[in-house]
Amino acid sequence: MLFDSLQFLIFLPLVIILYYLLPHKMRWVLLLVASYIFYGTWKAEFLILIAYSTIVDYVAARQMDRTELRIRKRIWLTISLLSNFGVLFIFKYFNFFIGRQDFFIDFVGQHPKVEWFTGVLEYGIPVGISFYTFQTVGYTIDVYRGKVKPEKNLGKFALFVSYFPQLVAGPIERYGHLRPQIFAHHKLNYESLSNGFRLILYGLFIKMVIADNIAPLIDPVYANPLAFDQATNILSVLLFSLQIYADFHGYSLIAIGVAKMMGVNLMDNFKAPYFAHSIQNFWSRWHISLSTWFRDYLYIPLGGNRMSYFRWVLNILIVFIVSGVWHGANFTFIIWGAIHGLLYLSEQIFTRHRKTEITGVRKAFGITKTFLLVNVAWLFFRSDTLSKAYLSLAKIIGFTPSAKTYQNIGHMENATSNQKVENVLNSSVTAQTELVFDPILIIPLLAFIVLELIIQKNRFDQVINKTSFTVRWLIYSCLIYFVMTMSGAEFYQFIYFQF
Amino acid sequence: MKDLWKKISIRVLLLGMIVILSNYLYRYTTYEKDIAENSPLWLEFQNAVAEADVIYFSSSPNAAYSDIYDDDNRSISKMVDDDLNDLKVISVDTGAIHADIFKTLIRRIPESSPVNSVVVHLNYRSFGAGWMYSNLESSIQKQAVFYHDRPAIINRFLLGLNHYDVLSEKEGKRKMDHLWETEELPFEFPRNTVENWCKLDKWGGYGTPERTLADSYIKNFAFVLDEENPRIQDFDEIVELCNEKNLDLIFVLLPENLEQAEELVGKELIQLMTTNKNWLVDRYEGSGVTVIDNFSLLPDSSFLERDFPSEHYYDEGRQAIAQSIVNYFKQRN
Repeated sequence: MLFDSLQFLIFLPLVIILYYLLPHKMRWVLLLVASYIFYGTWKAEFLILIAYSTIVDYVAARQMDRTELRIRKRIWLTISLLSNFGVLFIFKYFNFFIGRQDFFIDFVGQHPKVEWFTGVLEYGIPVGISFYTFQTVGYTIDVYRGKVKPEKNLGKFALFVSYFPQLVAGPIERYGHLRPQIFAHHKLNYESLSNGFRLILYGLFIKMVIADNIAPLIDPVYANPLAFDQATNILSVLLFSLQIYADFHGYSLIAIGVAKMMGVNLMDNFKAPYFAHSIQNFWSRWHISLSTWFRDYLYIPLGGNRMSYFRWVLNILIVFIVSGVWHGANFTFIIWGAIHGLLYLSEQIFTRHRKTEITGVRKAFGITKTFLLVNVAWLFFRSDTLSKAYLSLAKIIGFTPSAKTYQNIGHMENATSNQKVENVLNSSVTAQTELVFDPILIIPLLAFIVLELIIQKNRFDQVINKTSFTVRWLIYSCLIYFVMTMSGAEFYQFIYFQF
Repeated sequence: MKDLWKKISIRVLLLGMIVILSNYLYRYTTYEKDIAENSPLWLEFQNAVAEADVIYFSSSPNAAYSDIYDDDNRSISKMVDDDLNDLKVISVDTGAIHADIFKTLIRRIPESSPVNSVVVHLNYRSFGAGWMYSNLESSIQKQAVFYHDRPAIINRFLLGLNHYDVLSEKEGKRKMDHLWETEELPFEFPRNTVENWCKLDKWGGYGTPERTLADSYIKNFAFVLDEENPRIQDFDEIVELCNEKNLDLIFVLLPENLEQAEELVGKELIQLMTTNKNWLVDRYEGSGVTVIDNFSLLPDSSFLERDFPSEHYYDEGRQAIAQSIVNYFKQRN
């Protein structure tokens, strides 16, 4: 069930009404059932994976808690990690690492299990698998470290894993933060309801009106960069940075708003990331729940910055490249992660030990520079293949790459991509060559930019709370009008669902 | 608690008022533009119900022509219209639409409309998995959001929420493959399923043009028609609707390229198609509908496409179909 669907707009009020009508003891059961229904509407078969992760981590955590022996704790942690990342590997990375989409075709007919397995893989990547896997892995590591006590009730633990507001695209929550809130006794409260409503409305606006209208505009450019001129390629990169922000931030706001209506405060995932004055600053504002997860569960265990200089550099690169791989099984994401890692390191070489606040012109310069660099990295993130990213870049810089270069890129990607490169080159002859933009959409786009400038590091609900009743409802009216009449007409899932 | 409910009720009321006012604003600003962009067929339909005596529902076979070989580029419905001086025939057609959409539109014919007859193309291929799960279906369903009798803003909002059947290409293919693999045909192995029939050696290896075309015929025409078929249910509803609205309903069974099908696949396919066709004709004639049976009307040379089994005809073919419809109306009057 998508947040921007009629089903969800019916499902949510029903769940909230039932939540407040039921006695406190029963609420978690309602939420668990609701969460499984919410996820099951995509592909009921994938509920098995969530249930599997839940059981494995429940058992592993309980066993770790029962033993005093470090080695036994480690064994259970290893079992949990292998199970979680094993499932992730099979469903998300198998084809990538094997290097062939049709690896199992050769074996079909030889054993019924092979056909069953290929049938399951055919369903594609289970929605949100990376998100809930990281959330449960975080839990087992926290239990291993003794930071939290394991959950004794399997049902309650299942709710922590599957809590529907943040199940499919985060924010990736920590057990210690989410657990006490989900099971606390929340009374029906006007502030929670109205703040939740505000966040959902603004989230729907930026997802449905901004992101979903940009997507069809720039898709043809990324599909075939050679068919468009330099300016259009540049504009498309800038528009994509708006699209992905509006899409993912929109999703996160709806998730936070939904949880808020039931008295739960999920962590903020974004804090005006395009106002970041450095790459380091960007990562403290963009997808905060993931960057802090990597910090706590990968960077610090690797030794963080308390190692030799060379090892620290390596740690940074590992974290950023793994972050790229987390996003998807494609070289484009790895390059995206590597670019961020290298940019981060290049900044740190000069500023590692400098803690002074940046202000004025230097800050403005930093914001502009960071925004442009982040956009270059987005180009790789958005492109389907490395060769297309290269073609976009070539178009933007203004030179024509040789056929030999295309071929070399093709070899880097995978065995069949020469064909892909040739297809790109051939299709450029007949493709469309300009962006088709409905001028009326400039109105919501400007409204979005103005609102974002006003909101900055705060959140929409906090900012709107400070305005008068009339101004507030005037803003609501505009947002409702935009959402109901100007949403994108094409079907676009939330970008981060694929991760 | 009482204060809380009062506060909430007032705000819900306010939200309702915002939506009502927004609806007015929307109707007088971007509504028409949205229809033109997202649902142009609805404009055609509105024009037809305002002016036509006969609405002519079809998909691409109505208007497809060859700009190289045809002397007469008129659509079938235009030919019918030109030949019937006392009746105004207006078509409502776009590529790949089918009975589900016709049904939704017929429901919207107002009582005040001059329309007294409805012609609907009965396209044999539209009952098969290849059409039902085609990748054009999502776009057709998307257009249909505007065909429903709801406030304009609600239709637009539902479009934004993608409240229509979104069938991804992958999902559509999976459904097609599943049906081709599992649906039992009334033949012995290897013609017992579409999948097995396609695997049967014919016309050289995979990839030869004849083999590809032969397999396309099997995939698109080899199925067993029964009451469970979603399109049959749609046509049944069309019959009911036209009865309720007192409209004369004419189903035009379109010609298929039986010559090519027999040559490439064999007589079993023709046998199966004919059985299905007879079942269709009997079913709807039994319901009191006029069925113009043009199934075997045209020879191979009348068909436009040579690499796919479609219902696109050269001008002589379109003229022959038009004539069969004209004959019916002349006899009726």
